[in-house]
Amino acid sequence: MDGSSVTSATIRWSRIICVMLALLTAAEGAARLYVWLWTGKEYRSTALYRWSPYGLVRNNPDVTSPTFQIDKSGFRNIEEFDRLKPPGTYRVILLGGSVLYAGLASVFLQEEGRVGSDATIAQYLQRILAADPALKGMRVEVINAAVNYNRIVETSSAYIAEYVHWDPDLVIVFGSANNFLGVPTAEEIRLKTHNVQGDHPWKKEFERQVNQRNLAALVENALLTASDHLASVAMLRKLLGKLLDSAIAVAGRHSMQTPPPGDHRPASIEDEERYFNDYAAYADAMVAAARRQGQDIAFFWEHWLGDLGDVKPLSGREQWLHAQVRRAPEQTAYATRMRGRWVRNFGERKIPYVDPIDVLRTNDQTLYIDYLHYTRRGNDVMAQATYDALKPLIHAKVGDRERRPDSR
Amino acid sequence: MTIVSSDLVPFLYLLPFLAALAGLGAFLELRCGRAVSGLLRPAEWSLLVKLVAIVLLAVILVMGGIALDFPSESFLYGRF
Repeated sequence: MDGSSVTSATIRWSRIICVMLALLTAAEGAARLYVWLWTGKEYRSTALYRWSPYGLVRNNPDVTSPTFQIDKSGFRNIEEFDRLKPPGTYRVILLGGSVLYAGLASVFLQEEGRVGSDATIAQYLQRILAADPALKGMRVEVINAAVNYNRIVETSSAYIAEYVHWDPDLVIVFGSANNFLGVPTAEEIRLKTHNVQGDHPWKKEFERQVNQRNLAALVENALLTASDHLASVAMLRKLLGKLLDSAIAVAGRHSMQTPPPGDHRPASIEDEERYFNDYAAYADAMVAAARRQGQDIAFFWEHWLGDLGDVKPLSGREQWLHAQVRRAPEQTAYATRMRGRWVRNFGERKIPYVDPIDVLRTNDQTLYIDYLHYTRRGNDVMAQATYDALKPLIHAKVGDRERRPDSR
Repeated sequence: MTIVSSDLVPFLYLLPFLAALAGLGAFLELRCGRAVSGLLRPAEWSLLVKLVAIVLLAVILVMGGIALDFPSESFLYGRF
């Protein structure tokens, strides 16, 4: 019988389905082999994050990556931790964004390579604390609970709703850069859309994936589900995503659409004060929760490499990097003003903080891997600076526990 | 979005796969081309290709819509 004369009644659906399954199996086998060669691990998932009811997002423990290892609780640690603190343990929880996570921007020092989960600030701090004679005989845990682009909004809700119950002895809050990004305009402050006042980009994705009930959401969720089980679908999704993003970026560059009109005047000093108060309200909530629970809390200021041209003795490679990421004078001035408010706020309230500016002023090593994140050496140096600044606090807590063994 | 050379590194691993797939395809075509193409009738092959194309088109439409409405420059650390 000629193929063209086959009627729908003679179509062998079972054969078609079998051939499709055979093709999918072959593609899946090839994709899994590819992932294994790329990462050295069996495929589990390409999703970096998963939704959390507390603080929007957590790292996905199942992510398959050559460098990013996430433990079962979503921490950027190789070691596993239990929520119930073992007896005789000094536990530190570090909260924050990509600086703590050790993320990487598109312009970076390639020779440094990505920072693995054994070389973030947390692991260096754990080694320093473990070597502290005052903590001799104690188990030391330093948990890296960073999630990329966590602002104080996400950090505070994650701490108050979840991590406070992990019973840390010390909480250190990173992520300052995510709260004080670009210079706000007067309109952004008026409309309350600047940084911590506006929606996190992932919140929009949450609305689309979780709250929308339409065909597009159904297809997207089917794709996400398939990606979590099939390496072939995950690879296809990754490849298509990059191609579509590139195509839309090219189209955007040739677009004739003009930006919408708006008030682009910079915010006044009073506006900046109002914005800082919005930030500080979240910090106050964290401090109140920590004090109520008998936990020490401290805050860490993250400096932008682009602001340090006249401050840090830059290494040769940092000089090259600085030329790529140098910030406009008004951005540096804004960061300086906000840092001044930040230091004053915590200083006046006797809340411990770590500002590594003195270390940066004297250290000529390559501490930055990109515009904001640190190299392995940089993480080590920042861990030491954190320890030096908080040593009295740590020793006081340990001494207090020794005097009152029944205390936590 | 800026694509840098390091973004392309994972895809370099694809090259040996593509070469291997092309080699496998050529081998199968030479050794058992008739057997493979004989699995389905021409109309059934056509139907199979259409089904795969419909699925791919749905995926591209949805992902294209997301890429347009949620520009990648807003998601420095990746989308969901």
